[in-house]
Amino acid sequence: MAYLNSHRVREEIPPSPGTDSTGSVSGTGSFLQSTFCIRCDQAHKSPLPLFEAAAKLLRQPNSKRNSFRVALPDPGILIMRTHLKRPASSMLRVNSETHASVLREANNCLLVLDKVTKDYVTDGEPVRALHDVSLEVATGQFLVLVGRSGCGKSTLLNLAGAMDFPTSGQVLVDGISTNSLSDAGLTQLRRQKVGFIFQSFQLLHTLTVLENVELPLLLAGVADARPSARQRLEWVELADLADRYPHQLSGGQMQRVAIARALVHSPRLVLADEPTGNLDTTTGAVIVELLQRVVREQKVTVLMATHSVEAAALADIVVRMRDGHIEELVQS
Amino acid sequence: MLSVRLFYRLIVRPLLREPWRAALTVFAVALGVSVVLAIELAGNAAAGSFRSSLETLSGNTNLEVTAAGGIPEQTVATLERLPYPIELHARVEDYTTVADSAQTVPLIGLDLISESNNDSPQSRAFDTVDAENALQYLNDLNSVWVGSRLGYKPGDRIRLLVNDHTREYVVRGIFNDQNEGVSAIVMDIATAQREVGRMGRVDRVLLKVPDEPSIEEWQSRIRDALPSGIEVRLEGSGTAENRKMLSAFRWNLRVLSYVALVVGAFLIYNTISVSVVRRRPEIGIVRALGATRGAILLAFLGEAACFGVAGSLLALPLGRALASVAVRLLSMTVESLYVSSTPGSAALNLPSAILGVLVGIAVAVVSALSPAREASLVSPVEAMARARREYIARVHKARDLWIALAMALAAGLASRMPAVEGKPLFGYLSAILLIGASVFAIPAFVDRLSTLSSNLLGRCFGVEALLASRSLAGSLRRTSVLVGALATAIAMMTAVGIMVGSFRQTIVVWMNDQLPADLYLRPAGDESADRHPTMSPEFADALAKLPGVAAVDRYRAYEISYQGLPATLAGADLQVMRDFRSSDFVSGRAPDKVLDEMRRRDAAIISEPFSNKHRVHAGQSINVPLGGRNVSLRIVDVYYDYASERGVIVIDRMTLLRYLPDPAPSNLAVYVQQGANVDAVRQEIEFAAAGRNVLVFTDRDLRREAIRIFDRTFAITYALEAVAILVAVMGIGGALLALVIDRRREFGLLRFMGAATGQLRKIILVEAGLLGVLANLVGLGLGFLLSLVLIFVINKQSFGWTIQFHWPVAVLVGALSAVYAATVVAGLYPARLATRLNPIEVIHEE
Repeated sequence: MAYLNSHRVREEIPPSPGTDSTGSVSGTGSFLQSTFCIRCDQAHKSPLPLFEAAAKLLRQPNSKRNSFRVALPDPGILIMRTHLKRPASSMLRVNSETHASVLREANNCLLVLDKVTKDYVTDGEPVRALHDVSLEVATGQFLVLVGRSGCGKSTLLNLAGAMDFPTSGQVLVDGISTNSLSDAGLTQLRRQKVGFIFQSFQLLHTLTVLENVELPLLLAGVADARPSARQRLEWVELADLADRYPHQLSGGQMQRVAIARALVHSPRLVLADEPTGNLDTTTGAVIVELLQRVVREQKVTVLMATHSVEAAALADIVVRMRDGHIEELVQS
Repeated sequence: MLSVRLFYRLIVRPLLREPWRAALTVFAVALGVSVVLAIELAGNAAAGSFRSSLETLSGNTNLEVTAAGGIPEQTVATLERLPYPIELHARVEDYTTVADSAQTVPLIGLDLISESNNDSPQSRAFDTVDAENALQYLNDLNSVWVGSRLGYKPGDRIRLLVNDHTREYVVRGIFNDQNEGVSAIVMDIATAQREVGRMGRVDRVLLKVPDEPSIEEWQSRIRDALPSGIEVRLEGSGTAENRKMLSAFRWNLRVLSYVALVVGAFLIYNTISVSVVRRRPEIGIVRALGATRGAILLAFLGEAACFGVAGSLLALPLGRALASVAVRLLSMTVESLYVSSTPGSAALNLPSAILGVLVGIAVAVVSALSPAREASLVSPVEAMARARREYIARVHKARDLWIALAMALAAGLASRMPAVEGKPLFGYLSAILLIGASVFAIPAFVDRLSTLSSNLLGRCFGVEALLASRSLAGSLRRTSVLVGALATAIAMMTAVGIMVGSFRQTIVVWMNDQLPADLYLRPAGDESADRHPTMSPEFADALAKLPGVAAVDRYRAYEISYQGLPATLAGADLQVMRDFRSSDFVSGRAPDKVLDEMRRRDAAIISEPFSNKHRVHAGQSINVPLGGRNVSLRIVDVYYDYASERGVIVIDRMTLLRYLPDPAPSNLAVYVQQGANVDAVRQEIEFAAAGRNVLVFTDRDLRREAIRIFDRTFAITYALEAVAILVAVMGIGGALLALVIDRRREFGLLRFMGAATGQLRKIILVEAGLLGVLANLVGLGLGFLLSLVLIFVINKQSFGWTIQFHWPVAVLVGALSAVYAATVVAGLYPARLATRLNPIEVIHEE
């Protein structure tokens, strides 16, 4: 970090909200091997140079060579530069969303948490659930969050699922910053891109298995949801229980229904909050295997919070959390 | 101490967390209790004040002598000559209207000479009479003495309308009437006889007999000394008779006022059930930690009692305020249907207040018995282990359906039973059983209907409708109670709506038959069912001779007492009736045949209420005291009569004149010759009536007036229904609030699943709407059945009217739509609350 910090450029172009700004870049895409971003305070490891990606993203058809017009809808200023010793002319001023989009494209990220902090107020006292957490999860990865109760796993999942806004920093789901969305926008995002699985299954006891599965599609206004719901039920091997009610199922079966429901609208991201917490070890293992299949066969990114060591062993990435921080990130 | 702590933690604290819902329940109880209280207070004020009307200045007498059509003066002389130490007070009694204030007050003629010799309260009341000038005043036929409440001073002039004439009198003195319920005008008896046209007769003789021997002995001695048609009874019997006559009216009103309370009871039941269901795990925990079943039972009964106490206390001022509105409506009804009434003020006295509070607490505690008992039976292990929703779903549909069937059969049987002492107790029982049957049938009905319709609803109105209908079926117990509460209120509204609508329609049809004449005349002044002011017979004769007049029917009515109940005895011109009327007889016989049997004979037709009240029918005879004789009248037929709830006996005018030779008519019906212009004849009549205070109506005026009185009469029933509906709708609002709180996890989950806030709002509103639809369906069905009980059992046994069934479609559609809209509106706040829930918080609860 010390090395990177020493190269941080302190100069910033003064923000001018609501107006267009012009930045210039020289030597586009030719010499940058890695990029440094002062916003997330670290080097991005992507083989594709961030700067080039930025240039590509920001280039306008009518722009002059090496000159880029950047629309700045908000005054969130981000300064990017190469870690080569380039003068200010190599700086781009982009807004935070653009930065995140750039990151996503650069790293093939489905989910980006960018210096995310989340505070809650409990009994009048602020409590910090997440503290300056940055995380990138690529498409098709199986990421497991482990840590003690209260370490921030569920908060992270809620933020990732567009259920809440971070107190500071930002969350991007498939390139879309949740900060920039209204409540309706968040709802839309969840409908299209996110599926949830809960510890206590959370099936509606008044609906049949099939009706529970088709619920997300119906809420999204899909007229003919039944075939998709049946297909998902077949996928979790519960097609023959379609007309039963949740209370007629075992815990494992209920969780498989919940998985089918989480997948019915073909989301890109599935968030599972301790899905094996209410199950015995054997059934829990079956559920984790099923989630692995989700990643493999459906090319869906799965984030799972769990206490289970066995489950963690099957993940692509294990993120160990403690007191709202990412303590360790282990790639298998 | 432990119980208090348990009560606080298990009951009070959760209540404080939901102040709105608690407040709604309290207010619902308050409204229910206040209506009961208001009707009680207003009933007392409007109907309980007869003592003060004609009993004014009756003093401490203990017997009274009366006769239909008055007591001949010879009889008074006979009484005076009796060798007993009896004090006598002969009275002429009627009503007069003070022309300047249009206030109708009793007109009492007293023998002022003999009164001034007595040391009676009557005489003491006239302290202001200057003894020296008393004789002079008495000779002056313009002298009156006026109650102090009327606000006149000695020497003032006062214009009084008596019968069909207005005359100016001089106020000679003021008597103190502050302790009486109503003011009065007093004249000397001779003046009064002249003014009211009762020469040679008095209306009542009040007697004060010594304490020994017994009053019954005195009654018997005096009766033996008098002719057979003269009645000797306890003083104040008239008041007792009036009260007795009004008892059915008050009973029915009282029963109706309890509807709102019954609806409130449903809501208490629902509130406590929700409490029990919600706190089931806590109950399990405290039971496991050593709380006894009794402590749990007491805790939940205590919660209900808290609602009862708070609601009742709030109801006291509310009931008092409602009573002051109700008393006006009630007194008008009493006046037009029963008897002259001067309403007192609706004062909240201690017994009424205690009654109100006790009723509120009792209803609350009784409604909570079942859920509280259920709470006490909770097994600790089961409560802590089982999911709550499993518990909610446990409703015994099939068993309940059998109970419903049994209750419906019992209701059918009860509806066939006769009245008990004039009160339709089995009718009420039948209505209660029907309501009970519907309550037990509702779970199966709701379950079946929502199962059948949920997919269709989902297809037509989206996933929100599907979720709403499934949720209703899922919380069957709660849904059933809510539908039961609202349906009961709607059913009562529908039943009363159908009954009143049918009654109205019956009257409209009846009036077409009963008002065949072209013009009707009566003396001016306020109308009342028991007042029959007369017009001069010469005036009637003059009318008959006017150009364009074909015939004049002279109708004369007297107030009589028949078997301890007031009744009206009337004489009608049968010749005219036969020519022109097509009265509808219960037997269905042709009018001319019936009337032929009555002509100049001791025969009568009786009104349907009279027949029902006294259980007398065509072919039987009744003994009526007429003109100092007991006359046996054969009943020729029973006729439909909706003009008065008092029974009416109609005889031929010629027969009446034989016994009571006073030709002055109370009412005149004028038939205009064919081809003659009614307006021109009316003008002629008004010209002929110059100087007399008579009112001329066309048949259309009379119909309009009758319908106006009818609508006014039933205004209070609508008001009572409206309150019941309001209570039920508040209950729906409160229950939906509870529903949002209980199902917050579900709403949170839906948000996770991609539901927009608008969709949550729609779910609640659709649920409210479905509750409204279900309640309307059940309410309409139950209301129809209740209307049958009301029309053919309760009304028949209480009032004796035959009402033709009629669907008042427009009224029902309007009322049901309004209730439906109110139900949906009641869902607005809960819906708003649902959209404000934090899905993350609620999904991670427990």
